[in-house]
Amino acid sequence: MPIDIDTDNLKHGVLGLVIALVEIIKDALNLQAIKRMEGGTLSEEEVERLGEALMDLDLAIEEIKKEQGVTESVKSVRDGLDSIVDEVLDKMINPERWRKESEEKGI
Amino acid sequence: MAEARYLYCIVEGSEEDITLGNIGIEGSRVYAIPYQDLCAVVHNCSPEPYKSEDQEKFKLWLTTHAKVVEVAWERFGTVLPLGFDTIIKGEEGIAPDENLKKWLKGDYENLRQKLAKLKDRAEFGVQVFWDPKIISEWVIETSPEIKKLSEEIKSKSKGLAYMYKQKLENLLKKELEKEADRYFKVFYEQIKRCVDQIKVEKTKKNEEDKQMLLNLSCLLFKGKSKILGEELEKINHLKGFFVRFTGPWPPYSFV
Amino acid sequence: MEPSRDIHATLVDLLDRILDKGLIINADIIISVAGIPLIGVNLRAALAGMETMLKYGVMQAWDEKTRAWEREHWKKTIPSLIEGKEIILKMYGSYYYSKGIYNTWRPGYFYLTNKRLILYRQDFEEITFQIPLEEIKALVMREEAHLVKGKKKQVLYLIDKQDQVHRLNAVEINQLKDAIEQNLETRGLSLEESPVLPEFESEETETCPQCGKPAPAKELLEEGCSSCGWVSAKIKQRTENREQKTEEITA
Repeated sequence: MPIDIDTDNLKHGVLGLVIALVEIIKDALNLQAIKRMEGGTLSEEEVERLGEALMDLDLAIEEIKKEQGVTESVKSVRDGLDSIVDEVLDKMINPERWRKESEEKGI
Repeated sequence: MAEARYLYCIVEGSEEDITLGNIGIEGSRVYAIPYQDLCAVVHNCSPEPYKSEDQEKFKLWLTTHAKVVEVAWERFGTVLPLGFDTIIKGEEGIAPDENLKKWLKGDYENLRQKLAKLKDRAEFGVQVFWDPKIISEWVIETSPEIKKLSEEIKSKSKGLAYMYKQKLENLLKKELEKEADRYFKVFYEQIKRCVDQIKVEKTKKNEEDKQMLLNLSCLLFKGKSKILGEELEKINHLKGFFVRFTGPWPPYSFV
Repeated sequence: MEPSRDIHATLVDLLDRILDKGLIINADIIISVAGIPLIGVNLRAALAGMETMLKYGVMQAWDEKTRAWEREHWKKTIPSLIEGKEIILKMYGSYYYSKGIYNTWRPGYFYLTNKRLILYRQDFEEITFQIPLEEIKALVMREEAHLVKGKKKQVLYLIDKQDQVHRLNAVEINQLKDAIEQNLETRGLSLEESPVLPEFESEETETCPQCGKPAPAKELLEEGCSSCGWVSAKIKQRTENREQKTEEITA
């Protein structure tokens, strides 16, 4: 599959991927934080600090995306990852489709 | 170099020497190759697929393909359309026409049945979108848990407010998913009642202010599209919802 | 509601049908169409605008679009702090911005005027750092570990009258330092000669030249390696001096 690679391209590709992954991890962290907050194992002060730290992380990621001009690239990666997951799930829930596809391909 | 046949569609027809003129890709002469009471609408081409880096050119080929199928549809009443770049080849000692006829013979019953099922019918595309912002507002208003949370956030300190905001967004997302599911089922049933056959297509993630909930291909009598249109009008009228209704198309999705 | 047949409005719908659907024929009499999907999808992606371009390898097209938009939307204005003043020096460099867990070098252009030193980032219309020259207490040049292993970079530590430490870097950082010092001299202002750098967080680690174990740079320089006992020449000298002194006293 021919892809034109130059340094800018590569930067957007690699950087986009890295930041997309950082965002996904950050989302997971957020979820964990909320669970702990709801679980009542944290003091209010701890929740306050946790919230501030996560907020800073959020802002930092937004800054980097702006600075490097990769906001759209990151969105593309995440949408792409979503689509891939959707496709896999779709095949799992709908094995008939998978079978039909492989038949068409002559496998 | 053996010649090949670019295949547009299969139609019912038994006239001799049917030709549709030079309306094919790259101005090729489009004509029909008969087998019993079926015809294959083709043009002669070299045995390689149509490929181009030039987007405009490629777009033109695609719209030409579509146009030929439409013309055949108009002339012959019912068509079994083929996808772009379906090219029948010839082999050692076998002309492409022979290959074509062999296939028509082998699949004859199947093709006849399909043509019968599609008689007088057309395909229509239906897509329903919603504006996530408007729907979110509505969800916040009508869900006591979420409404209470959004009120509480106003009085919290920075870090706490952030955490609560995350929680709110999560709850909102879950509620939206539930609503999307509910509306999907409701609209699907509503539309299914107005059509003969229905196919669920993949939704696309394109726009910021519109989210696709439902993507359907519908097969129905051309005349009945008005009834479907009325149902869709009702959906389009709902606050925050938007419908895209396209067609009539040759029945690409139902062959 | 009427169905739309407008070719412009429904091109994507047409592509979805013509490229993915249609009657299926035995594969053995068809000419293989490998490679077509890619082109078809390129077209669809371009029309749809934001399909998963990474997946289909059209990063270049998207890159162009983003850059064109950025060029169009970022205004180019010079802040009043710089406009109209005599610019002694303009140099590309960066400022170490530190807030909470977010630490980074922010690149931009240094402008040295008669009155102050400014780091300005045009693309964000942001003055990242600025200081009136008379507020500068001291300037110290330091060598720090570079991101690239083994390389060192020169960092200018600027201490202001509130004892705040600012870290600056530039393509010709020495030139910048000299220019600031010169300007202050002509105005009769002086800088502290050997300032005591207030404690700061140095995350830089160095490896001990003797045993190769990593240790905080500061520790290595001032105390030596805690793992193998290696000491730098400086420390050796210091220890010798102390021993000499003690001898002199006890003698």
